[in-house]
Amino acid sequence: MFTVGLVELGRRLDYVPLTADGWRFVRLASKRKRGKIPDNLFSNPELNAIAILGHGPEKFRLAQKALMKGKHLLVDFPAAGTVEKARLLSEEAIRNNTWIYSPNLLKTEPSLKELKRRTKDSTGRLLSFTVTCGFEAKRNNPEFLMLVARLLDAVEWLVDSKFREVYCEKSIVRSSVSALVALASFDNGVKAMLNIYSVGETANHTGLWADSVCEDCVLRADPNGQSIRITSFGGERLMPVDWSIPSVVEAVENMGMRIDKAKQPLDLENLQRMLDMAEGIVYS
Amino acid sequence: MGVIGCGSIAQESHLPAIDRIASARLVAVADSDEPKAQLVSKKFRAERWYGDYRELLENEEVDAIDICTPTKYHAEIAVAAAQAGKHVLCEKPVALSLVQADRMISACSKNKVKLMIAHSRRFIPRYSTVRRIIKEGLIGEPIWATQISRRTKMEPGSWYFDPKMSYGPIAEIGIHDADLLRWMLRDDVVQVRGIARLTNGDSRVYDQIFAALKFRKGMVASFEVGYVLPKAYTQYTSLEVLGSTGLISASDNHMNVVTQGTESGVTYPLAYSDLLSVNSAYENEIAAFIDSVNRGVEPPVTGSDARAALEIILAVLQSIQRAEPIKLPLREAS
Repeated sequence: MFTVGLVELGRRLDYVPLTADGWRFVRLASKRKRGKIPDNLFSNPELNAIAILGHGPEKFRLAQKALMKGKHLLVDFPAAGTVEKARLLSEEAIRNNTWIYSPNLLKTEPSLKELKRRTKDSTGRLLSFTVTCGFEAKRNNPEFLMLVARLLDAVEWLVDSKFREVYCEKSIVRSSVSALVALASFDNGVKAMLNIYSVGETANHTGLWADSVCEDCVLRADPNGQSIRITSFGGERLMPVDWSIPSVVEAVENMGMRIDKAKQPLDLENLQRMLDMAEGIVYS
Repeated sequence: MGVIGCGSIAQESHLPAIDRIASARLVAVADSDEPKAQLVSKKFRAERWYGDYRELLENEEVDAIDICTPTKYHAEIAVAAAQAGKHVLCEKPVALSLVQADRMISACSKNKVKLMIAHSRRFIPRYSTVRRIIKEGLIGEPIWATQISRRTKMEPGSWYFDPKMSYGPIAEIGIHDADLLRWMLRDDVVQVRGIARLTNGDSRVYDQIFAALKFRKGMVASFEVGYVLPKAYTQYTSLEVLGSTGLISASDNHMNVVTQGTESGVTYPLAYSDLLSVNSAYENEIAAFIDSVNRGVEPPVTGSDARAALEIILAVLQSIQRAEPIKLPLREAS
């Protein structure tokens, strides 16, 4: 049995099961705030790997600590808020003979994966892509930048092309809630509209939907699909979609399949590009 | 009422709505295509039909006119109607230019007749409900909104795609989005950025447009307009509004986790329910116009409202052409 210690930072779109075929999760911590990381957090000898899901202020230190304890590491893309920190993690993994894997979990989210598959299967070219995404991190926090970088990386994957130009407009209303709208052009001619909002750390809401408009079909992925709805930020969390394999299960299984291969999979070049682009959007 | 222009918007929406309104009587219709005017007159039991709208304006039985012609003719007809003492309801967009819109507003004001522009989405219960929710403060202070309007690909012969008659989907449908966002957020736009593409090689105007709007109070909004859907997928609209304490989503088919529309139909591979449907908008709209005339009060969509929406659209077009953000108000009333 492959045992993975689970640290959840922030809310997720889909659920995290505690067991699956051949492996299990041991929940170690969730929604960690800034502060001291207990020395014994990763000391359980049964733990083969640590999975750090989401983005929070302690993400880098947790990742570093897990590697130093000799654990393989699955860390949600982007692995860190800067390329320098990601490089340090990579070096730490080599030093400790462990494996670091940083998948973008949006790419294994069931409805987005289905959207990608059906867009690719469409017989007509992709014309446009529209996405609306709500984050729980405040816009001026480093976590928000990482969430935007993760979204941009997923959008490039969904559109199957690189961003050529992005224009962004940001709200300047005095509130813990903020929003930005971005218009993008891709190398393959596709145009996109990205709506990104932040509801702050205390609000209990994240959202995501994405549309692909192809010449011969229109596709929508809506992990939190509802009818006309009003979501109060103080209310209950939306029920997760449970009709397929949760993103983290696929990610852990991918990790398990690759763990014996020697090559370290952190793509620092792509990480740099996504963080730069996110910075341009968030701070410009 | 007299209806000028007997095309599809008149036959499918305005004339049936007038027929259902107890306080309205259809006196006459006019269209430069005389056989069409005659046919429509018969179909909707109008007392008279005309091949020239100016003759309709001379009919003393007509208190108000409803302009359903291509956009190019709005200003000329509205000004003539105002001079003839007729109240004016006019399809959106108000005109092709701000100068034309100003002429219409001025003529109606000078002749003391009402001018209302048919921004029909304001009269769809879904949108008026969303606006009420915002006004009641249920989502706190508005921060962001987004609106999507997608239609099926149109045949290239439509006047929508004739640059001499219209600016295309951005003006004919995007104007709804511009008006709706301004109306929902109760604020004016100060800057826009637009991007667009031609997806249909036969089209001479952009058929897919995206815009980002910045409002005076600091809110942001976006909208997407496209005549890009497969034939079987008639239309799709979606609105979301984010406030400081909540979010409203009002969309056509939010109950479906994955929707796939093809030439042969729409399927919901992971469906939760059927499409939602709403629409009594035209009846509500024309009734509101008649009510404003009868009570002598300002119509719910004024010429100034429509001019503001047009200005946003013209700015988006300028932005697309110049590939840069455009500030409002526009310097020249082009």
